[in-house]
Amino acid sequence: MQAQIDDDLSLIIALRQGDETAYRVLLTRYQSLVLRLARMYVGHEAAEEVAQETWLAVLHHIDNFEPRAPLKSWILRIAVNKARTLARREDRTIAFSSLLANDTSSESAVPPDRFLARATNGIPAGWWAIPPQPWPEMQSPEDAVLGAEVQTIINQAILLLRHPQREVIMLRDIQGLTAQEVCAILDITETHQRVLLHRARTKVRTALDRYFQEGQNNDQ
Amino acid sequence: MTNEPLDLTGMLTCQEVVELVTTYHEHLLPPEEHQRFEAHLAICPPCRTYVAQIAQTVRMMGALTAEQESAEGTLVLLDLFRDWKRGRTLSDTD
Repeated sequence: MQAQIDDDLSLIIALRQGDETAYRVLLTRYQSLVLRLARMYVGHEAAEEVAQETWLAVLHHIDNFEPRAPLKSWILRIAVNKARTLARREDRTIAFSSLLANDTSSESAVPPDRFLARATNGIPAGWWAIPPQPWPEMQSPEDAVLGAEVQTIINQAILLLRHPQREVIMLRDIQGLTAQEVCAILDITETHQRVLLHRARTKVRTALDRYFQEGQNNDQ
Repeated sequence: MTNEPLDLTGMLTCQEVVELVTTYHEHLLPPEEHQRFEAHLAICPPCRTYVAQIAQTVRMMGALTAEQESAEGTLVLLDLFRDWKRGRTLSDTD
């Protein structure tokens, strides 16, 4: 943590002095993240525009930046705000806040009819009525590039998510940010972040499950 | 060996396990709840399957291949920096 702060500080100082190397370090670290973040809201070309606006804002505000928050969160938060603004202007997405309001409704992760509604044969209610089936054995995803089909299933499932869920799962599970960073970037509480992540992960798992079960049925 | 049915009352239900899985993976369950979660997993193979599938889903998402960035985009960003720096140097000498 302290190392992170020191590292941030030296980059900030260097950048304030107009050091291009410091800027390149930041670009290398965060530019692809900024772009992918922007693409959650706008198309490919507009994402480039968001990235430019983001870096311009970083440069223009670096003198005022107080390194209380990590530099990374600060940059990504700028990017999210720029992307949201552009998306709203282009009317591509509905305002985040209005979706957020809808999203607090209760929503069960797995269809309730997968569970026993009442005790049956000594098994209490709430236990599996239709238990999940194992997925086919696969190579560990760490060793192998995921199959194109599986990638498509995952990407489609994520695209179908409502906006706040999509933001959280992309930042957490695809970009690998921490819960703390995601909360800082999206300005949400830890609990809300976790609820959104939970629903999003559940839906992606369900999509994969459907795909794997169909595959198995076809093999028979 | 007696084959008495397990007493499942007072245990977490599968439905509860499914709802708590993210909090479990985030290591945010209070100790007592964590214990109840694992006690359920110990006797419930379908929930073990489910929890493992969620973990696998997360690993798969982490393994998605990222799109390549265009070199052109980076050049624009470097120009942007140089313009900014020039403007700064100019205003310093004013």
